[in-house]
Amino acid sequence: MTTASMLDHLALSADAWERRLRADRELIERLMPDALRDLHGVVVARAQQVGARALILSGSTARGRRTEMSDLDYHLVGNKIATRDLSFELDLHVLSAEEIRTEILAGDDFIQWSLRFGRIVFDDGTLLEATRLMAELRPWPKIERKREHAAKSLELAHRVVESGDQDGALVQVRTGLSLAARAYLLSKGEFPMSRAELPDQLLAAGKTGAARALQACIQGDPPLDVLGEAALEGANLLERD
Amino acid sequence: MRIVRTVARTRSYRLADPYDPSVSPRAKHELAREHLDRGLAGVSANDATEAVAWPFLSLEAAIVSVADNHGLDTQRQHWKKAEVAAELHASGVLPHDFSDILRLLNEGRKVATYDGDEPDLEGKSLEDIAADVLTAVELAEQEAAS
Repeated sequence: MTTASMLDHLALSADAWERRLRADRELIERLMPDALRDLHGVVVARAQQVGARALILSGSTARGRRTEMSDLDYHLVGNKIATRDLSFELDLHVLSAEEIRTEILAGDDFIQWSLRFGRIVFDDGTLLEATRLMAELRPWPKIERKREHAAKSLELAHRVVESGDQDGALVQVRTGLSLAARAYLLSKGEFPMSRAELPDQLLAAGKTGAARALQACIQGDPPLDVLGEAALEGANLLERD
Repeated sequence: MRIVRTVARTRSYRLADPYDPSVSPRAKHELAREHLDRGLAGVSANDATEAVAWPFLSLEAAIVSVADNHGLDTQRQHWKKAEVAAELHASGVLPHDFSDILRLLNEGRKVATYDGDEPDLEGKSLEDIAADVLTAVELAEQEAAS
């Protein structure tokens, strides 16, 4: 099923939405690594305690594609919860129901990603409404916005490479190259998946160099000169056809 | 990006010389100081991305520098560095716990870089954060000199 027809299916049928919720809960149970189960449990409990409207498990964990670099990402709809005493692996994005709508309309790709591919922990109907909005309006993330962020990030990455800080350069090049990959895929009508899946998507699009460079930044420990080349691959992705 | 492109296209495969940064990594406390200076320039220029990204890299480098001196492993994941920062404080090596500032800077870096939005610094000013990072850099420099 394409993502567009998936959206239609989910948005038009209450039964389909209920099936998704059930399936997502089962998948979360299956995909959550043992080492993160307690953390997940605390996040869910605290979200429910503050009366959150919805919680989505997002990112690579939701896709079953975690790497050693992966955070544990969530979108929380509602009030903030206390996180200072929790693991630094947690990456919680808090927003209101109104902000979901605003961000969808503004072309933000992250919330659209979570609604399409995330695993819903619980929902009071807010996410169903947002999914219906997406099915109705077919908003496509703003490519130019992504390109601008990618260009700025790659320029910063280039300077970190030049500074001679390999650890820092790896972080920044991986960020810039991922952003460039997302901008490129969006420009080709392809919705970018989780970071670990981007190299395969780039390969399928014929961008072999960028795919290998990103793979090296995700799984390897490339030296500075290779990181400089990876930043170049990112810049190439941003060049217009 | 033009400069990167030119450099990368002329790269040839060769044996690295002993001073090649890829085989002789720069000292972390030196990198921490240089990154902080770049961050302070970002604070002066009111550039949120620069003012958050460089102090983040500076603080990470400072913590790794201290951790290396004490034989603590700092793995590639950023949260391991934050864990080590907390551990160094708990064991009395660092007088301050820098893990929270590191978390704040990392979240701010992501917001500024991925979304292009103003980072939420939880009521702290960029100057206050830079002052905290400076403390860490100075501690790393003292450790390296001792």
